[in-house]
Amino acid sequence: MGTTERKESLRYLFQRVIEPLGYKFTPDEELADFLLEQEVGLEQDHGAPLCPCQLRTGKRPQDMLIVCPCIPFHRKHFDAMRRCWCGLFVHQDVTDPDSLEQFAPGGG
Amino acid sequence: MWHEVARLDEIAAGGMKDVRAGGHEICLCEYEGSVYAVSRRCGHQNAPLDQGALEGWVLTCPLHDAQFDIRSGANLSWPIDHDMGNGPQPEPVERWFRLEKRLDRMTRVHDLNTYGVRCHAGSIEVDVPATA
Repeated sequence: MGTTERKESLRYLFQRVIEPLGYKFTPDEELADFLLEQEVGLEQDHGAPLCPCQLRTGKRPQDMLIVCPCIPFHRKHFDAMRRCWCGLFVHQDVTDPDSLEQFAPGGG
Repeated sequence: MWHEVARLDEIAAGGMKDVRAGGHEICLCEYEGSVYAVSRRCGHQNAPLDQGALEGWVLTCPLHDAQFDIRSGANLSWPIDHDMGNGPQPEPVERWFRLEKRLDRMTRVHDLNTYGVRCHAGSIEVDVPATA
């Protein structure tokens, strides 16, 4: 199994999930490639392409909530930020991801 | 050697169909108007791939979720361990999963064989080696 092929297939499969949710891949190609590569490694180690920027709990029900794309599980938070935590996905109308701030709803 | 294996109207858009030709078990896959042919048996543990899921050009095995590219036959992901849940399992079950995990680490996932496909007069033909 090659990392390049897996990155391509994850990108393909994710696209089919995020588009109906109103999201797209970040236009920052270097960031997208880096994050997908981390997910390939996490998938090899843990069996699922987990979010690279979230801590695993070791408890399956909790860890399944950070399997990428985790947008459905954190929709309210991501819609407020107009991006996901690690920035792999942004709202479809976002053209400059660097202008977005990462924050928690309610100022937390 | 070319074998007629199915009719075009026997495979749905985005669907799969298992066929036999020259001693080979083959899984036909339809993707965006084209038919692809790969070996029907998973490169991990031989499960019938036509019972799995086809998402575009990514074919997922029904047994351990190994994924393959139907265009090239390339293995795309490792199989996924069974979910054992969070609580303790009966000892025989724990023992079995420990054995399975150990063997899985030594198991290699092979790419799928791919076969030439041509469509002629409503029929699907697959090119398989004559010495099957």
